[in-house]
Amino acid sequence: MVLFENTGAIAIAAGMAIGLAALATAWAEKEIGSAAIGAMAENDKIFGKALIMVVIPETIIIFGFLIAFLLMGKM
Amino acid sequence: MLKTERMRRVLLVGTHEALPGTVDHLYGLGRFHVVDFKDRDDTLDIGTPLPGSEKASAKLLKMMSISQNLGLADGAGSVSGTMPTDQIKRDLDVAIAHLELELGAEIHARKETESLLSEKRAELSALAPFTHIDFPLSLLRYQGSLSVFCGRFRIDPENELAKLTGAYDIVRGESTVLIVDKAVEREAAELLARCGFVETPLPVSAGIPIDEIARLKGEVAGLEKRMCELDARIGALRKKNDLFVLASIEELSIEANKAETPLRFGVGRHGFLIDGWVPYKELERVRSGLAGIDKGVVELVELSWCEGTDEPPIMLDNPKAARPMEMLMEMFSLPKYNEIDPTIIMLATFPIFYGLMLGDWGYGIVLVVLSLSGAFKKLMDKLGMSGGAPGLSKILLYCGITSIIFGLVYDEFFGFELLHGWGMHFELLGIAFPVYRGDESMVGKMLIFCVYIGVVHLLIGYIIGLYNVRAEHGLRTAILEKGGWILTLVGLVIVLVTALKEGMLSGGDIPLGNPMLLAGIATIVTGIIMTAIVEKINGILELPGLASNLLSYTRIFAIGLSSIGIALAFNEEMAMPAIDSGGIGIALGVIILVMGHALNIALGIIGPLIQSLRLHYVEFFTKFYKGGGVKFNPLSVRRKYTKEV
Repeated sequence: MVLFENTGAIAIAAGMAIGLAALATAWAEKEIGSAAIGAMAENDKIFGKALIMVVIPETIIIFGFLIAFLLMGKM
Repeated sequence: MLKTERMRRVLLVGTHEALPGTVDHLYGLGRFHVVDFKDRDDTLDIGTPLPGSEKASAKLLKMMSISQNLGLADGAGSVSGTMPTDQIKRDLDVAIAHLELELGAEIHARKETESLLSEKRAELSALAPFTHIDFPLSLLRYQGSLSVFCGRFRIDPENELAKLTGAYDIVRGESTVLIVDKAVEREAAELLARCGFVETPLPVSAGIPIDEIARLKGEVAGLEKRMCELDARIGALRKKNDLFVLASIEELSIEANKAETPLRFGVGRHGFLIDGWVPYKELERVRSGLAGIDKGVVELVELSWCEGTDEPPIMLDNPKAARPMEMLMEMFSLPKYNEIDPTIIMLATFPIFYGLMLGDWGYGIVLVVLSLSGAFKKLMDKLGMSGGAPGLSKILLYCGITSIIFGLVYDEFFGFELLHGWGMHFELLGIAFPVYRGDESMVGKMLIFCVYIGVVHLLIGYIIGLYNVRAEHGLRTAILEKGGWILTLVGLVIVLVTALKEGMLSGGDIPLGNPMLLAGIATIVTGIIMTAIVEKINGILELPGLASNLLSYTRIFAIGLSSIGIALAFNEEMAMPAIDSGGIGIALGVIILVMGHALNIALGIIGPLIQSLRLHYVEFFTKFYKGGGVKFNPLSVRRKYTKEV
């Protein structure tokens, strides 16, 4: 039985790729962010390093975006 | 440029008489980084403060307490102007005595009035629940055959009370007053506890509550007026003395700091020893200044430095235009003495990445205006980050300029395609300008372009790494380690180019026999083997990291796309339909445009800034940078409110 039309399945897959990657990024940034704020409360000179640590997981959503884009190319 | 300022380790040796003169000279020069004296032994010990240090500290303490009382401690922003130091020195003792006397009386009076005022206010609030009582409160304190309860109830106790005794009275109000026969006091108390009784303390006032409240209100008003008068008098004192107080605090802190500097020196029976660093080009100025000291003798001894001993302090040495970027280096970590300082490279790459991401000449103009008008600096001051404001403002100016350039390339003006409407399009080097990055046909090309930017950026990183490793571990290690990575990167690019040409990414077959593909793979393998000789298994494990680093550069395009998305959503989905509908819709549309783009600019400033910074800190710096240098921190004097004469 065909559940979805081909393009529909691809669209859903692309949505999942970017959506799940965004969730993962958000989760990782939440953990790092709260730790970074805690560390900054002790020593506010590390703001620069803390900021960078927080945005490190943003690569995950970039990968999600790339996969979504490659999938969209197949529609 | 590229190298940090060259330093010389020097020892200053002199006789005791020369110490005050030497300290003055070093502070005046502002180019001597002291290394704290630690090796105490029989002949040398840590120095003691210069004479006069205690007096200066005591005066400083007094002045600080005065400034606290005047309310200058955390709101001196409006004070401007400078005062000559000789005037401060001349007037200081008299002024301290005068201020302490005058201000002391006012502060004392203010404190007394304040405590009286809070007493009266407490009484007023205690009386508030008893306004329904129309007899003097002193009657409730009557200690005879009656018991009095005042308070609030959850359940009305009257029915139960009537069963207990006939001798009672209730006056209901915000605080209910209950009077019962003393004989049943205990039973009544138990009953009240069951009714959820919460006691209200009886006010100290004796009269009828309404009259008492009127009297107290009058008293409070009087006291408040007195407070205002006292505040005004203290304010007048502040206005008269603000500059003098701040200037003398500054002068006294400088004096106290100078006097305590010998605690960082070594001192023996006959003389002193100061250990420290001086920039090579300032060496002669330090030496000639020391020769000019009128009392005692000081000699400067130059020491040779070899790697592995104490690292020299780091003073970045860049052209003026690149100096704002130094802030980004300090935020990460200063380079080590023999490392390359990448500030000048960041001056080029950072704004370019930013411009590629934001890429809208409307937003670029806004950034330039915000930066040049000082509005951005003011915003940072308000956020309490004034320290980095001037530097960051300059960086945003550069970023604004590149945003305008790339905005013209992309033909984006607040999300509108203006150049297209003006018929401005041409072809250059086979690329059609303007490049519409949001177009579906462009997306793939833009992503590949971003990866190529990454390749160039990482190559620069590895080449600097080659230099840094050579300086630290020799040429062989440098070539094997960084050279290996360069080969791997080049190999990856060959494979990528071939794959694109053969259409492998869009589902084509893998042409195993393609000579370019084989050459690329061979280059990668050679590179990995070279790296593995030095870095062992770590080198191989980092290979996926290199690929993900390259893909990470696609954020340059992705961030831009999200910014276009927001701009287009406001323009075409919300504002334009509203404006087209006419009438009130035009006003609504304009509001949407202004609010939407303000939001997008705010996001547009922060997003590319952080992402561009990340590409440098995480992807670029990891290829060559160790960092961990200690900042050059010379003895120096910073004056804001004083002027040396």
